[in-house]
Amino acid sequence: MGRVTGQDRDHQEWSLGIMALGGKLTSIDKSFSSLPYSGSVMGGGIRVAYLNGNVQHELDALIVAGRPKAEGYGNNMVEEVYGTADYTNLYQIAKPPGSSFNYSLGGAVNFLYGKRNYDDFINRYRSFEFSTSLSAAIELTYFFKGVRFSNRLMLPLLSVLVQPTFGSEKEENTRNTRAVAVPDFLRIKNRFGLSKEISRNHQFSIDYSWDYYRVEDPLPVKQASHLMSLAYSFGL
Amino acid sequence: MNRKTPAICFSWAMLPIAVAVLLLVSSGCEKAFDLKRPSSDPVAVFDEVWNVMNERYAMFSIKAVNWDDNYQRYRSLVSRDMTDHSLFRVISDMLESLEDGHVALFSDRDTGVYDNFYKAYPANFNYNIIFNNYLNKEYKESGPVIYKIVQNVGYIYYNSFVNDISDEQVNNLFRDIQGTKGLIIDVRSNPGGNSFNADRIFRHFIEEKALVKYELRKKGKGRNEFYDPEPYYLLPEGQPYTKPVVVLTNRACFSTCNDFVLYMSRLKNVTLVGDQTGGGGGVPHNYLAANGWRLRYTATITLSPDKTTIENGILPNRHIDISSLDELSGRDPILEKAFELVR
Repeated sequence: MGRVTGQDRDHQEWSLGIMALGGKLTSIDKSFSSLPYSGSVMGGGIRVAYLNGNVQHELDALIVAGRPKAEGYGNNMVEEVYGTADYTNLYQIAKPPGSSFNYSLGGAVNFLYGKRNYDDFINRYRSFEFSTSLSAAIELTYFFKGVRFSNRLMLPLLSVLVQPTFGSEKEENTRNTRAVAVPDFLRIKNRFGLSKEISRNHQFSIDYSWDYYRVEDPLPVKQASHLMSLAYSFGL
Repeated sequence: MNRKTPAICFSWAMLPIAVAVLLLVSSGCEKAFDLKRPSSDPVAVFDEVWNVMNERYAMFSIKAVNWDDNYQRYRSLVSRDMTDHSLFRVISDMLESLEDGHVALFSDRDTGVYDNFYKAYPANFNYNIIFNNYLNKEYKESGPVIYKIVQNVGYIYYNSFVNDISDEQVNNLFRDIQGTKGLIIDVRSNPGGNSFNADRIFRHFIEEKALVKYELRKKGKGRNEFYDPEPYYLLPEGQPYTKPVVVLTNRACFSTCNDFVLYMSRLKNVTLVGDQTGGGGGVPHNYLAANGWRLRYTATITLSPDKTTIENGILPNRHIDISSLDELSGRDPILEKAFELVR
């Protein structure tokens, strides 16, 4: 059985992991084009987790970058950077008798940074969004033959969003900072993973995560990322 | 007794169901977030270009154009089965009605831009006449600038602010011309470009921090939704050139060239000679339409230090045109007047 079972209420454990990520990112920034820019991205991340009985704390941060192209017009490209940092606190609330499923509920603080530099656009070619969100989180885990399957869903409920001003040419102009909630800022983040202990205190995991977000007026932006990650973590 | 319980069987069956639900939710989210390519049929593209201009173009208060009327007039010419070439012409005609040289439409094969701001007027510039008859085919270069000292008067020609000049090149230039008794700066037919190049030259003419212009930026989608004007200052650089200066202009001096002439026109030792500049008092931005066409539009309004628009150009102190006879005779009366004024 994997080391993270959540079954031992006295069980405490720290772990640190490093990740390599790759996948696909698609974005539409309507200040520049209605066309989706789509392409591969790569990057890395770290994860720190603390398990104390039924309570799980996790901090993970990742960053990926690439040069997506305008769909159908591949000579138009954008340099894109996408990064997130999430602190998640989950409490195991249910483990049905005889079931290998665990259900956990909790909350998260999520940080998101998306930045785009459009090739061959004059004067105004940079855009970004930065958000800090309070989110609800739910996780479902399943243990089978030493492999831990998990799915974690996060839904930001209230956020502070920073974007450039409407006509700004300078990305550091942050006058457009505001508190937002659904539907002005809609985000859904999901991570599905498999992890297995390969030796005592050493774990290997594969995750598939997708992250969709949408910002409404005055600077509408939509982005979807699909990332696969390979992670190695060890107990501290 | 050890036996496989129904709960375990039930749990094992949950996994593929969970994965299927996950994939369904994922693809559902993709649709809900609408990240697919928009329609690129002629009607959709026309509406897109009109809307982008409606929300982002800064000059509606200056141009005598009713943009809503334009929609009605040009939209009636658009049909879903029209060719790309025909659509390009309709949209270009709509954009050209603004009479703004910064507004343009680019496709793989075509460019639509309003150029009557200079083509409808005398050219007032012939580089071959200057090179052969006034520079005698000799000059020095400092980066993109050519210059020569003629009878202790410096002549500088900067053909386009698209061509970058470094601080070092500017310093070398001004070191060379510092001892002259006057200076002629020829920016005729300079189509504009990088504003930092104009700034680098201008800074050598001021003795203290100077307010050179204001920029009005859009705050939102409303046609008259602007932030307060943002002042733009320049600091002096090097020993200032304070002797008489004549700046030569014509209608093809546009955009950053127009800004440069604005800066210079405020100095007491400067006289403008030639024809009024072509205008272009604003900063252009780009937009990529759903069919891959690229739109360029004016996104800000540049104002003089007196907060007046320079979109329609800057008038010279001395208006002189080069006639056909002058050209045939190999004369440039604008340049000749400049020499007369600095001597």
